[in-house]
Amino acid sequence: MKKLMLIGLAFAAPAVLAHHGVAGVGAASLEGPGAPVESATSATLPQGGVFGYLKLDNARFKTFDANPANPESKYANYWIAGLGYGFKPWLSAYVFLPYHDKTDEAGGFTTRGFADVSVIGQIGFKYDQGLRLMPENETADDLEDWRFTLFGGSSIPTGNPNLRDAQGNIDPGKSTGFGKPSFSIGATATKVFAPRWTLNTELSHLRFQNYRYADGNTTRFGAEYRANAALNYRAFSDLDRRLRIDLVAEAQYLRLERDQTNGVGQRATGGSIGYVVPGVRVYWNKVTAGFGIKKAVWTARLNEGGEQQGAEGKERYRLVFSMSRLF
Amino acid sequence: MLATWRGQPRRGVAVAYDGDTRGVTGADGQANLRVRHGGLQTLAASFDETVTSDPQADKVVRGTILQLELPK
Repeated sequence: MKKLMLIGLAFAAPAVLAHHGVAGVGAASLEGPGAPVESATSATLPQGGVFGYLKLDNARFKTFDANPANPESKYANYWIAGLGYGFKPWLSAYVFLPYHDKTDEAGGFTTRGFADVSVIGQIGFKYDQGLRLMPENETADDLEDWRFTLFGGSSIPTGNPNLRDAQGNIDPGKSTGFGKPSFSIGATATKVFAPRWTLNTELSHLRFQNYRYADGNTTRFGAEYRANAALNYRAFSDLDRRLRIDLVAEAQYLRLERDQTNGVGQRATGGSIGYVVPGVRVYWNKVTAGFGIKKAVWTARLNEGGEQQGAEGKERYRLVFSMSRLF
Repeated sequence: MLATWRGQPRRGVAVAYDGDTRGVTGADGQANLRVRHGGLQTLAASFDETVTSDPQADKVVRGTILQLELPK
């Protein structure tokens, strides 16, 4: 079944954190840690800072059956709009509103609509002669310390889990809601380890609940485990023009448990996938934008992978674009 | 680095290391700088204040430079 979770603060992210790389902005960020394109980062929002975020994840799926009588998943657009607020220098909160467009080949079951809203809280730490909460004021030198975040959140079932196709059937993987809240937790670690280089890592986990659909069947989507690492290279920066351009290389590991329908593990769901995401991130004043091409490079551990058309790991590619601004 | 003005810690003082601005002081007047080499160190701090009493100037810039030498 096909689904997309918000996770990954990059903000960056953060992804759950909507993979929202919370991109640093302002003069300090021009010399501070870089943010990945998709993974969560260790940046928190400044106290009182308001953060606006928009992301598009465009997935184009491989198709295997040329018979028009068997339409397959063609592409999906996962839009995410988000707002964040810095309650303290070390405590940020975010709300994300996704919009999903899951398009099949002609004759298939195409669905569109707003999906489940997510709320996420994030606590930031740094290591400077001991572990401490993220301080209010930091110099460019402080930004070179190890930085960490813990984040967690929940979705709110605002989407529609019971969308029906022309025959009146419900495909939970095509619905725009999960019916019940899902829960996410995660952690990040970030270090500027050379004047132009930043290492960013993320571990996160997402769990779904069992939901009884309107047709009487129950589904629990498989839990997700992510391990991401990203290298940023600050290729260009101009403090006078407040412009910075980073080259980014991300490696992502995703493990999906099998989906359960009526308590039974479903064939052709779940498995492990390795992705790479080469990309670029641009910072200009208080705006940052990231673009990357996400490609599955390791799918050997997908469960019945030959039957998972339209699922994670079966993309031709994903185009990931995000933009955020700090107000 | 601790920046004070008239005996009190001062917030928002720009601090520089070897001529490169690294940030500003916090409410406690402090800012952390990283020593990046041995030998002569040049630390600078400055802030400006708006002047309303002098028609010849609109602001006054106050700055200081500290130089010290560390073993190489």
